[in-house]
Amino acid sequence: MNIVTISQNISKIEFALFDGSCGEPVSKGELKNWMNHEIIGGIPGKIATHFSKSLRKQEKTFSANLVCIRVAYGGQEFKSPEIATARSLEKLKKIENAAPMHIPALIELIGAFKNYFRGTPIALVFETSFFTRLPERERNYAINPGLAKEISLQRFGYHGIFHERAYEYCHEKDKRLSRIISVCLEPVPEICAVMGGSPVMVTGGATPLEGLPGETTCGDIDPLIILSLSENLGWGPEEINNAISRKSGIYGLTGRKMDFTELFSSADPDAIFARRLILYRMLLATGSAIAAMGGLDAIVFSGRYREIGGQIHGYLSSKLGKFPEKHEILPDQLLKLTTCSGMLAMLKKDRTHSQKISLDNGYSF
Amino acid sequence: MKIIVVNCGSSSLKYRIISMPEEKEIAGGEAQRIGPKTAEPSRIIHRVGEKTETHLVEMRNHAEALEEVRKLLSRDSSIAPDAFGHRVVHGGGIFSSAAQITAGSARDLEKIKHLAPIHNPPAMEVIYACEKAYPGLPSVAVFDTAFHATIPDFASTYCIPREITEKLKIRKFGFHGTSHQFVAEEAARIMKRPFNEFSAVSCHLGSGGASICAIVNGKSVDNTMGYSPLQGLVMSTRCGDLDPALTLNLLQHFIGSTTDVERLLNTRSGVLGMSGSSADIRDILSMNRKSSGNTRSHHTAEAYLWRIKKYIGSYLAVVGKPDALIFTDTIGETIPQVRWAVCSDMEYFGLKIDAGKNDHADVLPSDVSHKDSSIKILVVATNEELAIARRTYGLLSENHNFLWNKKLTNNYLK
Repeated sequence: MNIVTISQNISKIEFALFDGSCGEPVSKGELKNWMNHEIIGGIPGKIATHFSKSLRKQEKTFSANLVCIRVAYGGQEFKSPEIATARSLEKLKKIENAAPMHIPALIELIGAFKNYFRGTPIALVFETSFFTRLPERERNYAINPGLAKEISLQRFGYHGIFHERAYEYCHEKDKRLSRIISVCLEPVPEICAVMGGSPVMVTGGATPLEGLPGETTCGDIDPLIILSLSENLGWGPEEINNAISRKSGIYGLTGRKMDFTELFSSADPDAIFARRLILYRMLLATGSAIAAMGGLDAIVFSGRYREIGGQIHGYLSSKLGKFPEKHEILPDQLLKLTTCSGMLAMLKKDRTHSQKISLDNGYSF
Repeated sequence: MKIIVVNCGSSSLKYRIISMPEEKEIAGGEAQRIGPKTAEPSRIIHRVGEKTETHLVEMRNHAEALEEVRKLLSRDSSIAPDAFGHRVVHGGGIFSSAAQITAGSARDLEKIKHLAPIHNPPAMEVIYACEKAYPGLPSVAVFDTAFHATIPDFASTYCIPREITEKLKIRKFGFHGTSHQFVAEEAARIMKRPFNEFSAVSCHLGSGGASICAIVNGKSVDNTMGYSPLQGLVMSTRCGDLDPALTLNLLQHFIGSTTDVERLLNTRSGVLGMSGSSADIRDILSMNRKSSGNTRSHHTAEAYLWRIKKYIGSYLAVVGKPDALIFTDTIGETIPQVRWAVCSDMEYFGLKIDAGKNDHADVLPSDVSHKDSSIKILVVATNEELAIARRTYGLLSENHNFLWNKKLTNNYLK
């Protein structure tokens, strides 16, 4: 069974082809600056050409049984993965206002894949599905619920697939581990408290801007700061958004682009300060997570920078007396397959959709 | 020395005359409904000793209120003040401790007025009115932010571009410092610990504003409020923490009007915004007890308590080995249900509350911790006015100039 996985953010699309053995992708690549109306229609063709070329070298031909598209935001509308149908596209349109930059382009992209891969099911897997189970007390902001609904104002986490896999990984190792802190170390990191398989607290907010600072994102700030930027600098929403999402975080503190691996090894004084600050914010989030779960059984690190988990664990242990002595790292193989296996696992749970996908290699779900 | 402590709200002016160093309150009162006419008349409730009287009088602004208070005080020469202690909410990055008002400090105060638009301007108005009504009498400004001057840089820095934070002097200031310091000193005294070796998490839960403070060895190391008193906990009409993108969404929603967004988040959010029925969490908790759940009051109560509990967890982690968890101010002192909800299931941190003691904490200070709790849970009455009087007395005594060095204080009206 050949599965095409598509993961996209504002600046690029990452794509990969898995042959169902759940090993390394057979082929992979990326396309930058894809959010252009004139380009989107041709994207599936470009990806297919990329796969065909690389398979030709292996004397194979390219075909796809399933296309999985990772979607960062699905609001409350998408509680589980879905096969893209006219109805699901209607539901996506409904939540367009919550992610106006992202969803219209995504709808167009889905349409392009449906056109190109005619008859092949397109699965939509949402990072936010895991968080549709977030309790109301964690989800709600303290503003008028009518207004909250109007401007789609509810907390969602943004690395649900990572957190869900992290919990499953720990729980599979030892069934007694049921209160997990999952630390996803991606360019926008996120800490989630998962209890009994469900999220109970997460640092991410209605958007990925809230919570821990990222490589270029600001993390938690006083709401009045946004108004101060508008009043004192005369900035409009676009300029403010640009500053807090692309020029803040580690970049804002150090003045240069730096990923988390570099940040955690740099001896540059600004980087040392930024590291201290981010570790401190992680300590705050860890304290919240423990309070939210009434305790802690394990801590798991995942994401592309998971290897710095050891340093973070060391810091947290030095501050919290009863902290788990060891930490877990979501294994490399699982990590590489997070997108693919996460999607498969999530689709597997959804029996109604599993009926629709015919399987040719016994890899049933 | 008789010190008048003046505490300005947006439409009120509380005052107390405290004789120092005996710390004896000899008179006090409150001017209410200052400003535009409301359904009820403006009035001053004035008390001297055991005697309380109410005066109905129009007060269009805080300066007029102060003038009316002066008239009442002037009827009794035995309560004539020697100095003023003013509560000033925001000291910006300029004032890291209490400061005597001089021409220079008044200019500095003017520069940071915008940082607390609801609180600082009326306080300034009253400072000027005091100088006019009592020329030459020394005035000291005691700042809510001063206790938090010790918050380390890594906890007070926001991760937005440095050039912006430096240009606009944006950082976490923290608030309610006078109260956090007062109750922490009280708690240290109760526990017979030197304050500079005392660590605690202090919860100032007012019926209006609320904040939590992490204290290590007598110094504030973090506070839930931030650049402004808007950040942090869910408050009566303030939203507390909010996703930055949502403030941007609101700016777009209100077509760029920062005033509308600021008003919404400061005065129509929090408990009031969520519940739609009351700004007082006590009403909401009472409604919630009577309701069957899944109502607005239920969700409001849950969100209010949950946010406090999460921050207590955060600050217990930061403090490491706290001596005490302290509850104070209207809600913290009088609502056992709140203390119970936020302290339950916290044994991981060594925190365990005693249900019986908690329900009967009527006489303060009170220890409501369970015998197995390794951290004391104390309910301590705050007394910001006394704390301000202490700071004022301390500063003026230190200066040794409060009675004779009028040169320091005059001319700041110019």
